Amino acid sequence: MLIVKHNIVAFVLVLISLLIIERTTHIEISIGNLLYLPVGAAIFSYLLFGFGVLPGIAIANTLIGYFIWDNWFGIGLTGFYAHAMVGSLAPIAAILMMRYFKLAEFYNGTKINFRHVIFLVILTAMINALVKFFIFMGAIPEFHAPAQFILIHFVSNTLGGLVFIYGASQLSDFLAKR
Amino acid sequence: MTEKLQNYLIENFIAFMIVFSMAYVMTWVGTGTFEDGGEIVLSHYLYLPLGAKILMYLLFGYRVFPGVIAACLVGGVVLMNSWNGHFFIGMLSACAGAIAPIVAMCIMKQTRVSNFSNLARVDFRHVLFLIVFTSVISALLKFFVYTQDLTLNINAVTFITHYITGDVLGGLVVIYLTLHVIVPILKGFFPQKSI
Repeated sequence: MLIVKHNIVAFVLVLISLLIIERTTHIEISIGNLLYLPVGAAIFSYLLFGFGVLPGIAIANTLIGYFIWDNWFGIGLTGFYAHAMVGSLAPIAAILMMRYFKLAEFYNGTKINFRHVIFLVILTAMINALVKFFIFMGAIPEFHAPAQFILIHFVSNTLGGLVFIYGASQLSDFLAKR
Repeated sequence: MTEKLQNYLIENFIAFMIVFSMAYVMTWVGTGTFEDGGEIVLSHYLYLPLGAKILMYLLFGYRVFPGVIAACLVGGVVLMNSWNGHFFIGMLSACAGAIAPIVAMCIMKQTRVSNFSNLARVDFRHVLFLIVFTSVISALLKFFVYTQDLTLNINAVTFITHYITGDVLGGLVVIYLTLHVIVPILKGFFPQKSI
């Protein structure tokens, strides 16, 4: 039952972050936006609950992409691959890579090691931006600015990841103190 | 001339020679796409200079940057025919190639995932990751540079995948040869030293 609860929490976190950027910023499929919070929500969930929350994150990404973004702005299955699948799997790839190369311990006892998480966010943003680029490049005929696409996706994923994780850790600290 | 300055110049000269010689060897190995095909946008499948650059930064630190960048520029002009006439863009791309290992090492150092200041304590897996990470950064920086030249017809996916593959393979070959060929030979010549 615990895994179901964790999945529900991860689902809600990703859903809320997606709704925040949906309501506050302008999103276009070939450009993205400059503060992509769901990456932070996904990383935060994986660090907190483990890889078991993949279904919750993938379902949240799929629901928003299909219903709110109108079938990923009309590109359908390509949008699903790039947004839902890559968006959900990129943090796992980054965490596994960091574990394999023995780069980081994300926890010092009970406290989160924020510097290692920063590197994880950068790595996830890089994987996310590159894989999404490779997927979109073949699917969108009017793809005119590949350099901008990679740059904006990398920056937005990094900023969104850092802002979400910092905000969530501060909020949880505050709530724990109260 | 003080001893410090002398050491600085010697280290930069060594870095220059190693990186330049790797670029020279690269033009022998396989198809040098720079010099005969005119395909500046495809790079080389065994880009050895990247491994040499990483090795020099690991051995001597960031202070050999002038030697490395000089080797990149001279290599581009002499061995790659001034990047087939794209001198300015080629020069910027050489700078990107020289800066990429520093950027990667700085990010890894600042986020405390690895510290390369003491080479004896560095985990070999960290060096492997550094090669991959540097390759991606180098490929992206070069891609951003080359897309500024509107006369070049660049296929973005091919460009990035070729550059990353070439850089990773070249980096691995150089580090492998250094650890398994050059170090044992040096140990044979200087058995009393701890290399």
